[in-house]
Order: sequence, then structure tokens, then C-alpha cells
Amino acid sequence: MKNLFKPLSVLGLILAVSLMTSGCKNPKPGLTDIPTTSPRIKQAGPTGPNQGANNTAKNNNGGGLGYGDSNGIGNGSNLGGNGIDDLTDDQFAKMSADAQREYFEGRPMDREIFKAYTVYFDFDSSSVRPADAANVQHVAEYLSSHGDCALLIEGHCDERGTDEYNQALGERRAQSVKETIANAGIASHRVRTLSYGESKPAEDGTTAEAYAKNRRGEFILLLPKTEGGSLAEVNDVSLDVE
Amino acid sequence: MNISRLIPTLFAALVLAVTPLLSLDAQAQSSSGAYDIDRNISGTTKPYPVNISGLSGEALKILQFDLEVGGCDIVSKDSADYLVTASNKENIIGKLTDKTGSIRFFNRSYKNGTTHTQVHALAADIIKALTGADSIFGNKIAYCVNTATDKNEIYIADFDGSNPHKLTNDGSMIRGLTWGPDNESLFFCSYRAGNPDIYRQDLRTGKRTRIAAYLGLNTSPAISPDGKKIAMILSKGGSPDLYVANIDGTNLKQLTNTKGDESSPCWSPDGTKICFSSRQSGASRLYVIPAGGGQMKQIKTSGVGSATEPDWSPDGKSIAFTTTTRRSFQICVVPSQGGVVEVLAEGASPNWASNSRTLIFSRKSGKKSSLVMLDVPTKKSKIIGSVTGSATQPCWTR
Repeated sequence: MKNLFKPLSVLGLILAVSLMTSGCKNPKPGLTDIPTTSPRIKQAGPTGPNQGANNTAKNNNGGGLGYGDSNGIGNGSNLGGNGIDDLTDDQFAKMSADAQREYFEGRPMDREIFKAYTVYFDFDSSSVRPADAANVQHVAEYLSSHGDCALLIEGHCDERGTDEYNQALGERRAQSVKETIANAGIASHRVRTLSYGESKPAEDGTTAEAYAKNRRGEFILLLPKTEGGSLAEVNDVSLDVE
Repeated sequence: MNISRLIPTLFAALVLAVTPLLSLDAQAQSSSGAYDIDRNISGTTKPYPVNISGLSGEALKILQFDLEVGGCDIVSKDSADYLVTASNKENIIGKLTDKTGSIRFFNRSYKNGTTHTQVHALAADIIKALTGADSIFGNKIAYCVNTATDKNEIYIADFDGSNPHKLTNDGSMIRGLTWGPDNESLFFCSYRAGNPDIYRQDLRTGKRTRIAAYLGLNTSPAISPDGKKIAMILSKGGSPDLYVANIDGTNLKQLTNTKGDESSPCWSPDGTKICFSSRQSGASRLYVIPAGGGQMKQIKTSGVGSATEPDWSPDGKSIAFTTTTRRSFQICVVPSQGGVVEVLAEGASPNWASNSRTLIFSRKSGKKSSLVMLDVPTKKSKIIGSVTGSATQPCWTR
């Protein structure tokens, strides 16, 4: 009986350790050439990579149905003669989805002007922190005195959630910030949200600091549409212009 | 008796006693696999020890891969319970017997198609004979391969990664890839137009159709089992919520209206319910809601923290999902009515095969993401080594 104690306790230890550890070894994958052209399948729609948004509103690939009311107000430019947006949120809500998108698209984007006012989030949270209230206020004040501008809020996550979960969390973060902008008196329809989930980190790395920098909401100023609606990135907008 | 010798024994005995409780028998009642009482240890089915003789080279490799995916261990003759005796002269011939050779399951000649398809057919017959599960070896998979952290393209391949075809050349990001009805299309969220929008891409014509392109987020398409409806996550109402529409996007109906965010809907196989993940309670949990609308009800996932990316097994019995631990993502299953969770393997975004036994998912190692298949009853897993690049969002044909 005595002789069994040692092997049994070793077995017990092995069992205990194996229960606590997990994960599999990854053998090296084999390599197969993947053809770079698609042999049979053609693509319709816009060709080439496209970071802009000029073609969306016009792209009627059979998706015209199901976009809410199509008898909307103000397709095309919704700006009054002096360039000030005179739409109400209710009017905007009645517009078709395509018209709503077109309100925002084709505007020059300024990513620099509010760079210092990026807001940050706690892990797995979409609540705007009290410390960021001043940042939000600054952005709201600018929008208040520049009635022909709109705003894009991008929501981002660190990599510690799954992809689709982070897409939704990033959107919820952007929406949270949008709510605080609206609470500061800016018409809700002037603000657009866009979630990138975890796909555009501000900083690479797996440290807590890198993760904290990636959980963010960024403000991008959308200037009034120029003639022809080109989508130019404007980095040197003068802040004195009225 | 010496106390210091007694304690290790008691500890070992305690560990041995506790082990069965930790390895739950969620799969013991799987109706898609033959239930052999002698083979169950701690609620997990032991892999079937099989010896293969008479094949070499590519044919042998294919058969080994298929059988391991199906829940077998490939072993020497001495350790085998089952013997596969095959030959590959003019075509594949294969015989399956028990280890003594006296019980013969079948002896078949596979004539049509290529050697590849013949070997797959032999593997399917072996798996069917041993486990009762129907073949998945003729299925295809669709997946995305990263070209940057914010860009990827869609590929379609055979289930084992062979014969890959690149479908897109967008230079932008795709999420929520899923097959459409009759596997004639793919549905996905794409950032191609500068916003996350849901598209349908017809696989025969190549034509892409917008299904949902509202302001905000349009993502996570899920097609109903009858092919008539689509569930989606849209944030047009102010927060990412669950919506259902006709498969062309018309007749939109909002199903949830929470302050939290919903994600990753999946349909029950009878089409009456939708399961999804929600942060409504503050932490991400699984919920189920009637497909026509109603109250959302939490599905208990005892034993894990977060629960995301659910997928409902075709036999209706289990829900696979991803949980996030401090260090990694883990694939889990839970009975579809809720209960205790079984953690299966490291990975994310699980998708059930039609046999309700094989899961495909992605697993990240450093910067690279690989595709993995796992046989849930035996826990045998295989990395799909022939898929190159960093691959995500794998899904089986319906």
C-alpha cells in the first residue's frame, strides 16, 4: 500500500496541472499558392479601393427598397442660402436613408482640428468619462458657431474583444459621445457615427497603455460641401474664418 | 499511518473524483453520433483509434486529415480498434473492419471523380460507420484573409482549405461573413463605401446588392433557415440593436431597443427564435428572442464570464460561442436552453457544420490567425494548414 502513495500523488499532480492549463500547440501550416485572380466571378459596383463615400448615395444596386420613407425632404444639399443648416432633427428623420447619407458625404474632412480632444473609454465601457466633458464641450461650441459644419465621431476598441462584438461596442461608444454633443445643444442630425471596432488601433502593442490609447472616440470635422463634392482631407483649416 | 503520505493520496483521489464534473456530458446525447457507452470517459467520447494501410502520399494525407477531423486518432495496428485497408491502383478501394478483421463494416470501390473526391468519399463512409455522423467533406468554406489590420478579402475553398478562390478585391474591411440561401450567395458587412453596410454578393453573377446602408452601423447579417429573412445589427435607432427584415432588406422590424449594444445574431434551426449577444446587463451575455418579436430572455452560461458570437447547432441542441478570458478567446458550447458551459479550445467566431458536431473557428497566434476544425464529442482538432495568410470569419456552406 505504501508504494502506491508516491505514484498516486504524482498522478494527482499531473491531473491537476493538466486541468489548469489549456491551449494547443500550433503545428506549422503547409503552404498553398492562392490564385490572385478570381477565375469565374465578376464583380459589379465600384472598382478599386475606395476610402471615400462619393458613390454610395447613387449606387442603386437594387437596394432602393426598405430604406424607410422615400418621400423625404431635401434630397441633395440641405443647406440654406447662407450655408447654415436649417433642418430640424424631425425633418432629417423623415428623409430617405440615401438622402441622410448624402447630407454627410462629399464634405471635406478635417482630422487635425479636434485631434487633441479625442475622448477615451474604460475597458468594455461606452460611458463618456467626466474627465472628457470639457473636450466634448469644446467640440460642441465649435459646431455651434459653425452652423454649416457637421461632425463625424469614430468609435474604436482595443483588441481584447471579438471582432463583431468590438464593431458594436465601437458604435455604442460613438453614439454615447454623440449623445453628449446633443446634450450640449447641437442638433443630433449634424452628427454621424462610424465604428471601426478594433481594426484601426492608435497604437500597436499589447500593453495596458497601448490598449488605453485604442479605446477612443475621435472627432472629425465635416466642412461644408465644396463645388463638385470632392472628398478632400483638409489639414490646415484656419480657425479664424467665420 | 503517516499523515504526510496520506495527503497526496487524498489530493489525487479528490482530483480524480472531481475530473468527471469538470468535463461535462453536453455531447453524450448527441444523436448525430453513435452512442457507445463503453467509449465514454468523463462525458467526452474517446477518439476512435484507426489504423490505415495501403495508401501513401497525397491520398494518405487526405484520409488522415479527414478522419482526424471526424474524431479519429490515426494509430499503429497494435493500438487500433478499427482497421482501414485501402488501395489506390486505378481508383480508391477501401475496407473498414474491427481490429480482428472479423467484423466488416464495408468494402467499397470508389469510381467517379478525382482521387481527392474518392478519398473524401471513403473517409465519409468510415466516419458514418463509426460515429453515425453524415459527411461534411463535400462542404465548402468561406473566410476572409487579412491584407492589413483594417483590410481583408473573401475566399471560398473546399472544407480542408484546398482549391481556394479569391472572391473580392475591395481593399477595405469585411465583417460578419455568412452564406446565403442555397449557398448561391454570401452576405457580409463591408466598409467599401466608407461606412459599414450589409451586402449580398451573388456567387454566380458576381453582382453585389446593398441590403442595409443606414447611417451608423449595419453589420452581422444572419439568414433564417428558410432563406426568407435576414437578422442584422443596425444602429439607426441610436444604439446597435437587433432587427429582422425580408432577405432583400425590406419590411424592417426592430426587435430590441436597449441602452446596451447587441451583436452577432443567429437563428434557431426551426426559425422561430434568434440568439444574440447583448451588453444590456453591463456584461456581454447570450439572449434569445422570438423571431417575430417579443421579450428577450437570457440564456444562462454558467462557468464563464463574457459570452459573444453565438451559433446555434443545426440539430437545435447546442449553442457554440466565444468567451473572453484575461489572456485569450475560448470556444465554448452550452445547451441551447442554457446551463453549464463546456470550454472546448482556444479560438473565436465558431460556426457549426451541418453534422452538428464539427465546429470551424479562428485562432490567433501572435499576429496570425489560423482556421481550426474541432470535433466536439472527441475534442479532436485540426488546423487547416493549407490556408495561408491570417484568416478569420470561417463559415460552412449551409
